[in-house]
Amino acid sequence: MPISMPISMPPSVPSSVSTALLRTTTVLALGAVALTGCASSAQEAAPATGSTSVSGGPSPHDAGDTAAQGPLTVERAWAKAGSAGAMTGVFGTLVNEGDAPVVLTGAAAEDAAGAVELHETVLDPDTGSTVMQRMQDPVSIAPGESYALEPGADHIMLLDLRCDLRAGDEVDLVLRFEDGTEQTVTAAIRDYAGAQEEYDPGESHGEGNDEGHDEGHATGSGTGPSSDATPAADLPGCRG
Amino acid sequence: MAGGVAGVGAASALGLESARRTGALDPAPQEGPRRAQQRHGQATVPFHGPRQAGVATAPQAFAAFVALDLHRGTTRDAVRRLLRVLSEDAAALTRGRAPIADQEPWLAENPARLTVTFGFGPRLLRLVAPDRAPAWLRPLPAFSIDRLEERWSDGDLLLQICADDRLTVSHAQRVLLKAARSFAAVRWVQDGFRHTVGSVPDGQSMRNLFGQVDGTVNPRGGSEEYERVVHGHGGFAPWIQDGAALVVRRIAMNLDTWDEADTPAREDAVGRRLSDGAPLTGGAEHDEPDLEARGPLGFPVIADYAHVRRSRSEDPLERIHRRVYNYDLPVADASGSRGRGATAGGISDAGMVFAAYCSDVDRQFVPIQRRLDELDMLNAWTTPVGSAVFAVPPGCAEGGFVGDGLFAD
Ligand code: HEM
Ligand SMILES: [Cu+2]
Repeated sequence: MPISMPISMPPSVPSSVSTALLRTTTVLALGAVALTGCASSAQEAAPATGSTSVSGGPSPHDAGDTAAQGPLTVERAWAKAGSAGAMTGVFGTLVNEGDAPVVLTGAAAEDAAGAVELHETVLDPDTGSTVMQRMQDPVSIAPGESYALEPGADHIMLLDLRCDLRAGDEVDLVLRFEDGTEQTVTAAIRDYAGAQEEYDPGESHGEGNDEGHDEGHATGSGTGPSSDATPAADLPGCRG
Repeated sequence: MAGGVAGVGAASALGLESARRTGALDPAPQEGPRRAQQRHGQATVPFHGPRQAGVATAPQAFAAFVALDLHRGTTRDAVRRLLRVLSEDAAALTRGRAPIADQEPWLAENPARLTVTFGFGPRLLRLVAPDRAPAWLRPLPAFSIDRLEERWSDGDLLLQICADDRLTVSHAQRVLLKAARSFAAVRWVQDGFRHTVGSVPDGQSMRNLFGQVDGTVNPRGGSEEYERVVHGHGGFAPWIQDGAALVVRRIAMNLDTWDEADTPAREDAVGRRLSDGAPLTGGAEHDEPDLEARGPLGFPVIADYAHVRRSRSEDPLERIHRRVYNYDLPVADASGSRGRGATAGGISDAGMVFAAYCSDVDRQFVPIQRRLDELDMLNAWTTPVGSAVFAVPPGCAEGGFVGDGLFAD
């Protein structure tokens, strides 16, 4: 894992021309269409919890998945399962139900990841493949609007996982806002075959990493043959 | 909404909500012909509750019985995570909501009374809660009629997926198997079907592929008898409160040799009329057969070897709740006839996914099956080719997962 970064995304990062050009649609007002299908309007009141869940205890992610101890309502937060050392994406819909814009500057997941970044995904017009890269600007969500984090689009990237993120567990992360406030979000971890974009850390980092990383290796989080080369049974999960 | 959920209790608020969103509800849903207005795809059966859905639920038109084997080395914690993920996905799907990470969310829009019922095989339950595993949770004793094949038998975890829309079953099966892939492998899948919705009046017994009226004498969900037979209230204590037992037998039905039997012989084999399922001793389908009645020559009207006589017991506790599905697999190069006693060949590969619920397999299912093994004219045309026994855990509350009570310590 050659990428090592500050835990939150710095408010301003030197921007390369290409990322500035491609960074077009940050705020989507569509709601979570692709994520939630027909269910987007049927929110069930699930208690917002930022606390760890006890084995066998209730999960806030059963259905409505609304977490709102902060400026945003977070719907259906989930993370793709991944192995320690790898990177993985976090998805969901951030809804601003307040009356002032909310500006997301970064995130942290200290128990689970060495670094957390806000990523966007761009299509390489030469190869047709998608590449993800750090966002250059904070994300501003206008009052009444939603911001969708989805595989193949904008997402939160957990880098340098400190432990296995295993399907059926949860991971906490902290969203950071421009005004200095924070909000804890609990994301359900799921196996997922997509979200395999190459990571292009960009010119600004000078880490000498031009290989790109494929988060797709981490598709399995159980204990069987289809899980990753590192047997998940032997490694600590993030929740022990 | 009212019509679409008849027999399964009140519509959930979410069922209503999704119906409203899809325009299935008129501004005044109470008005108009009850059934005609409501698409049955919008009907829901609640996933959460003290008991799992899909047992007392009036059988849906389509079923997939999916048995999984845990990967080698699976830990108790991995089972917990697996059950959590499957429960959360199943709960969402049964409401007509796409689960997290569903890549075809539109296929979740018509729950069509979807139920997902979990059954725990011996290995899974012993891994999770060894002290709770009931003695009957093991393969059934061998019966002389059995020609069991491993590819239809046993398994660590069963998912009984039922809905009134085949597409809904397919999608649910795909979503759940994707979620289970890193924990378990599919051992077998048995698809089944009954009459489709609306083709026969609700509550009417189905017909199986022998043409018989099937399901006449069967404890109905909610009845006192059902409570006793399935959940042991006044009967045999279940392995856990609100839990039950499930036996899945795959029974090949030889339609080719059945064709050689004429109506009197077919009716004699069961003891009921083919036309309407009434006992051969007269009356209508739901009238009691008179097992004492004798014909003019002094022979019993319902033969000693008749299926109805042999599957009955004097003991009111020795009962099962049958929730069966037909199967009819495509046969490549279908030709000729299947020989007597054979389980392959001929122009059909048909039979029954015989799913039976009770509270104690050894004291309810086994004695009945033993009697049928000893004598049952139907055995001339039927052959058990698969067999599996599962412990059905209680249901879970909102936010919980099926089996969570077993992890409480
Ligand atoms: C392919 C195999 C089978 C076929 C075609 C079949 C067919 C039937 C039919 C037509 C009836 C009469 C109508 C009704 O009450 O449902 C019946 C009743 C019944 N069958 Fe079966 N059956 C099969 C296998 C079994 C097995 C394996 C068992 C249990 C081990 C079983 C247990 C019963 C019971 C308990 C009844 C109700 C008897 C009564 O109290 O009247 N059947 N079956
Ligand atoms: Cu990324």
